[in-house]
Amino acid sequence: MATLAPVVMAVDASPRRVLMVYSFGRDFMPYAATGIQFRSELARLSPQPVEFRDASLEQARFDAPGRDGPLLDYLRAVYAEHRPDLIVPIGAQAAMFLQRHRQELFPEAPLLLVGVDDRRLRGMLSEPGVTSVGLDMDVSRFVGNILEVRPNTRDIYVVIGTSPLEKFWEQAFRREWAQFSDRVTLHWWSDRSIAEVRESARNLPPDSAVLVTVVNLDVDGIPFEHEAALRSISPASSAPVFGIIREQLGLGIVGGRLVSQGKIGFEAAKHAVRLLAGEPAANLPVQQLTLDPPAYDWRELERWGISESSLPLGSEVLYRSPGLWEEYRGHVLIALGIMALQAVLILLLLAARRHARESEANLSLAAEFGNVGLWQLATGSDGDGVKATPKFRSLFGLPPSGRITVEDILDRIHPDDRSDTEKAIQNAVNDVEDFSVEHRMVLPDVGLRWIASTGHADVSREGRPARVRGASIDITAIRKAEMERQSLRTELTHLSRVSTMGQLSSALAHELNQPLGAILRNAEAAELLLEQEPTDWDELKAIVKDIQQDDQRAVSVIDRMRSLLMKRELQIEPISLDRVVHLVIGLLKSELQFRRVHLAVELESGLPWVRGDAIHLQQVMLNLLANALDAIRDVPSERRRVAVRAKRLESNRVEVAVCDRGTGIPEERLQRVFEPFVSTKTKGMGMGMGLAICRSIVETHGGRLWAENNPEGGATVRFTLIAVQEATQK
Amino acid sequence: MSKLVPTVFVVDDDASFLRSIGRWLHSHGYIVKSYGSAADFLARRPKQATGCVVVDLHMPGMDGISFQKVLGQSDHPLPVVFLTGHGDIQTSVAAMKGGAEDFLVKTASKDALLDAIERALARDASEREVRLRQFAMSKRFAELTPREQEVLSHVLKGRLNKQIAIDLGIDERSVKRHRTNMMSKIGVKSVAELAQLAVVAGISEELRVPGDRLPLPTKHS
Repeated sequence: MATLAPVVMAVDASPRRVLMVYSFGRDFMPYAATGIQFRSELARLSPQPVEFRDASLEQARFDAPGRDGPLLDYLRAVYAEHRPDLIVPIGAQAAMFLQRHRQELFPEAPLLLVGVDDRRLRGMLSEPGVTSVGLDMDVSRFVGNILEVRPNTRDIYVVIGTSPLEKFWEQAFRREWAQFSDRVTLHWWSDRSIAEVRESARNLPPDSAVLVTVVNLDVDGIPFEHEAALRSISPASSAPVFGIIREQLGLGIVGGRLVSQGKIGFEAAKHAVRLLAGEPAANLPVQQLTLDPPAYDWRELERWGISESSLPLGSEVLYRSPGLWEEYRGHVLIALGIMALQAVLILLLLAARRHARESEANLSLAAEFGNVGLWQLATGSDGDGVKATPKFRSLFGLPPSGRITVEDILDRIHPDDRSDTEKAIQNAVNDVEDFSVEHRMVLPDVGLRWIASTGHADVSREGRPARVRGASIDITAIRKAEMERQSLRTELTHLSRVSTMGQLSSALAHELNQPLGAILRNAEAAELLLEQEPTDWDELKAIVKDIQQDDQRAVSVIDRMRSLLMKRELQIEPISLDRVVHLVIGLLKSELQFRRVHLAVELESGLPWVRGDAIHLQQVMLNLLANALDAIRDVPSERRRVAVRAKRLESNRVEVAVCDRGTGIPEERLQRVFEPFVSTKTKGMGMGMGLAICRSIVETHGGRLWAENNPEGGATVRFTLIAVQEATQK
Repeated sequence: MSKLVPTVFVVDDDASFLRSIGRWLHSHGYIVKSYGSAADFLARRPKQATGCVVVDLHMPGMDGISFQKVLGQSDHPLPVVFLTGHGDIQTSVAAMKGGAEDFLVKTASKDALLDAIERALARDASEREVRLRQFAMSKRFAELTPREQEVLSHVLKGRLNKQIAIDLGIDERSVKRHRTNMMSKIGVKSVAELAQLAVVAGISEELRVPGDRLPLPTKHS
């Protein structure tokens, strides 16, 4: 069959039937744009004519589970004879509907899921004949968009509809935007009709923004096609209006990184052509589009006084429409300029030569004083000659006079940095780009130097690159200071680890002497047994086996200590928090027993892995636990309890808490305990660096660390870490 | 009773060490009994056993020091040798004050450990003898009539017959008679002898002579 299929198709010129199933009506956002693009692109690409049929799950607008019946009957009736060649559900509701009924309706036709977000795709791809062109949206960008261009924003009013689709997204947004709760307050306007939203938006406090997400159906049950809600809100709003979909741009939103629904349709059409040509769905990769590069509406930027310089790098600004003055400003200025020029030209010409000479001298003086080497690289017909100031020549160890070439300069650059530097110069010359590069040089008698160079390319009148001018400066001292600081930090972190281990040394010696003592007694017993007649070989064998086991025990104690005593740089990778906690508890086992402390470990099940350095996080745990043990040193035995808890937070974070029932931290010290050399312990008990180092380690991991007193007595120190997505766990 | 063979009782929660020290003691000719915890020993120990206890200082549940206290207050105390993975001064002082025979690390030399065990066994033997004598004595004192006991306590306080007669409200001749009977039941001729035996039997605390060399048990049966 498989080999015959293409032959049959080549003969067959009858139209291909594509059934598009919309999650709402076909004019509702966000899927309308997807559908339009898909249709036009597929019609263009397909070698055969394509016959599009539409169906939509009108009932998906409402909370109506189990009301698949009428649509099912309809599809069965219409397509009983004219079986479609491809089924294209658009949106998650339609995808789920077909997931449920594909077997009874169209078991043979391939299924192309379009516009389904990764969050909802799970389990949908397990059946054969199914592929997907969907989305993997970083929805935190939508709030990020606002804060990027309006960093002072305090309140964001979120406009969202009330259909099941919109309710799903409201949940997702609430979860993933919780991370912004310390910067902005989110107001959820899902409980207001669009008419009410429009009125409320007229009088918003300063530093507000409106975020229009998906509105197909408002709380009063009024449907909105083609972004009608946005069109109604934006003109009335007293605060900038932002959106999430690329197709909203131009309809009254400021802009940002947005989801392009049209692009999804466009990409899906490419899949559809191959499926219609008989290619199995398994051959087609599941595609997930991410957000578009930032784009903004010039009119909205003007309306809200947002400067283009505050937009993220590489932003596209659309819909520029200059005003009258701006349109004619050029003409006026040119006219004025010509008159002024005529008057001044003669004077200028006279002054210019002198002035040029003076400013060049000034510049050289300043450059010389600032240890900056200046250079100029001519390109094209002038060859690759380099003009350079004496300072530059001395920086690069070049002779004070004579011709120098690019090659001469490159020869002096450290071999590891040479190719990067060469590439940067080439790019500057070929593409007329500014360039900036840092490289090392090894000069005889001077040693290793770090040089930073920056340059600017000029264009000739014909639009070709004419020359590159630039400046170079010796940054060795800065680099050295940076490296010194880094190594001091590593040193300090290591020292603190060693000192914590020192506090545990008595417990660790105990743990080590246990197996060593057993080995010694066994060996002495064996010595005596060997002298006896007859020799008890069974007993001797048992002794040797015990000695081996105790030796292993001793080795594992040493291993645990050694990894913590090693000095090393930070290595961040996905690690299991569970393992970190249990390694540290292993180290503290004897200490806990000595001090007769009850330790409770409550790690939430299914805890995700975190991004971190295993040793440094062990150090944090060890330090916090050692502090907790010190805090309960002098309390009655029933209060000698310490708990370690870990749980998943919203917004992809994990929180770890170390909780004791000790004496607590005096309120006025709660903030200060994280400063270096501040300690609540008795003199001689600690140097007061532990918590400062812990905080710096956690912050390097992108987390937070803080302390609080428990209402029932004692203190809790908490820290957060960034969770790893399940898929990347090793 | 003196036919009992001295036994070394070992108490340690570390199973591997317990096995090794058991083998070691056995190969050095001792009779060994091993226990995994202090509670286990207290529940299963043979009541009349002689010997000593070698015990780990750090154990979950009852630790070495509390075990020493409980054992010392029991009717059948035994000398204790402490073993520990790593000793600190504080606990070793507490252990020695509590009457421990010795306090050693688990990696201690063969000779140090053997020496400590030998001293503990010797001490058990001598304390046992004292306890037996005391037991016999107290039995004799227990056979006195109530009146004889009253007379005895006055005699031990150094009162004369005449004073005792007034104190007890009886005549001097009766005092003399009770006193003669009492002295013959105990089997002594002089008040000095009587006082010494009373001390051995633990009857009189006030009369203990300073510098008394006899180790006195705190309780008697």
